[in-house]
Amino acid sequence: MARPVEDDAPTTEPPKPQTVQTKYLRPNPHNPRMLFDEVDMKPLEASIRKVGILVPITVFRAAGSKRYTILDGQRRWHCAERLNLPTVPINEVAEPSLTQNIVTMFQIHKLRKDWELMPTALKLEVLMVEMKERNETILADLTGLDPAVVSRCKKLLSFEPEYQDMMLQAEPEDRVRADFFIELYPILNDREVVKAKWYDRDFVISGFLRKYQERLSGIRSIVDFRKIKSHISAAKKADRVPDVLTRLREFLKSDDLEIDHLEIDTARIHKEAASLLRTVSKLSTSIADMDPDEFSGEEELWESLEELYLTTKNKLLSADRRLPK
Amino acid sequence: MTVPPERLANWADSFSSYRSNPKQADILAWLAQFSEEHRELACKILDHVIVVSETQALQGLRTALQNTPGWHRAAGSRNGKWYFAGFGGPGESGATMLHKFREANDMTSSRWQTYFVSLRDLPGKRLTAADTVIFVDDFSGSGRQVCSYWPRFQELVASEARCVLILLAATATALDRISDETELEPVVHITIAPSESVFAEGGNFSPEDQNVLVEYGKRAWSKHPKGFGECGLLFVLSHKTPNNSLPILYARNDTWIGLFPRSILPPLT
Repeated sequence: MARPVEDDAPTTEPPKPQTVQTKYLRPNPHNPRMLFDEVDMKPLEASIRKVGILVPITVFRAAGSKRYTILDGQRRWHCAERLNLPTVPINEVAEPSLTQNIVTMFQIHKLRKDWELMPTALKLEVLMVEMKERNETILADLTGLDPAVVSRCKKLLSFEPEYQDMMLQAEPEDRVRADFFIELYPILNDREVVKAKWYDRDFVISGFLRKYQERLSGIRSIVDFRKIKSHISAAKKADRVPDVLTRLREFLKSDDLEIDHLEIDTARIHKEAASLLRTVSKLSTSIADMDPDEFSGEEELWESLEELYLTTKNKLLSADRRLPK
Repeated sequence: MTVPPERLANWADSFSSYRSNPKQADILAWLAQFSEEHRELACKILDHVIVVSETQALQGLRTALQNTPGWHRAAGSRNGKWYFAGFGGPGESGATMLHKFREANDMTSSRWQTYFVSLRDLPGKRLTAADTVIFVDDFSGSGRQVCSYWPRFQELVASEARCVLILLAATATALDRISDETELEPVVHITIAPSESVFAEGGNFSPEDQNVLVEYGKRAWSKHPKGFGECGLLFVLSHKTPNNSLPILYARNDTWIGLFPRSILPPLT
């Protein structure tokens, strides 16, 4: 008679959680600077003080390193340090590849508003090269970054090294914000602007950079670049491209000219915008006043609202607007 | 008060390695800014000023690299990849020091070009725990700048690579702060002890002297009369005076003319 299978099964102890000294852990260097919110940390700290760390911290040990690098659980580790806990429980995994590490960190920690974009863009570039992938949707899926953020990173990477360096300046006062280059991008790469006989990429960038940094020609903030772009677009619609290109060149060369020097056909745009604004306002009020229960049976209405939501969202994304939270 | 010629000549000689090369007339003009009763104190200040010459700086950078654990000139004797970068942006002292560093360590030939990188290059180097990045800078007085820059640099190194910071000089306070707050391993040629501050207790300058110096310091730089970080140093590098030193040494404005200005040309309007 055959013995039951269970008799042959090796008897092994269940794996015990491993503990290491707290000081032997280090944060993952692929993590963007984590500015932990003090308010958020307090409940976790209180819990750990009471019952310890219940969920082991996921770590790996890089080849050649004497310490464990945190993959997930950095907040728990910070609390352990603050509470002077001598040891922490860990779950050690194999060292991820560079690509896996960057992707994992992007996915675990969604983009926070305090990230600075250029370092993120450079790391995204590493991924793009490693994975031979440039598609924004695929990169967004892979990294967990918003497609708009991926798009902005790619714009930054299109700038020459000297301009990238400006965004990496360590001293905040010397640093040129990534937003400047992002807002400049549509003007710099406008199809008609690029075709202008006088067009020189460095001339355009350095001209706008100087005006932006020294607050010349009425440029007070990066939003002013959107006005410039809209003037160029309005001129195209009015079939006045040569005029606006001439004015753009004059604008870049002279600090005495203001943004409105580029206005050619804005009266029509303003009128259309005012009309659209009234419509949006009226519609917004109507939607806000709707009682969902009363209209629950109006399937066509709900489907239209869903379509309106998607249309609005896509329009905002195409205008490179940040979606409201 | 008349300054003995020999004393004046000694100062001029000691200070000649500073880039603006202050002459005896400049030294006398600087002293004349002090009232008669404080002039001997001003002379005492000059007696204690240390100027690190260009030659000393180059030797210091060479010694610092030689003292960096794991460094060998022969690639086969080193572990992992090694890179060098200036600490700070292109306009900062790190970039200047990197150039001097290359010269000091005989690394100006094209053979060494790939070892020297900009910050922007770091993520793409795919660094691992076996690799080393050496950042180079001239001076750290309080450690504030290094510690505030570090998270950004760490994000760009983006790996387990070992990060070393070579400094020509630093205060002991700065080194402690850098070690506590960053993962940089500092390698320093000249460490300035706390006792070398003008405002050190029991140091070379009495509390009365210190109070007088603060008052003159307010004329030189009202916001930081003791120098940035209240370091109160009498330390000058041949290419630039650290702003952690007493501002009476370097400030140039309507109310004060320093002997070791940080810029040798007047500001452009």
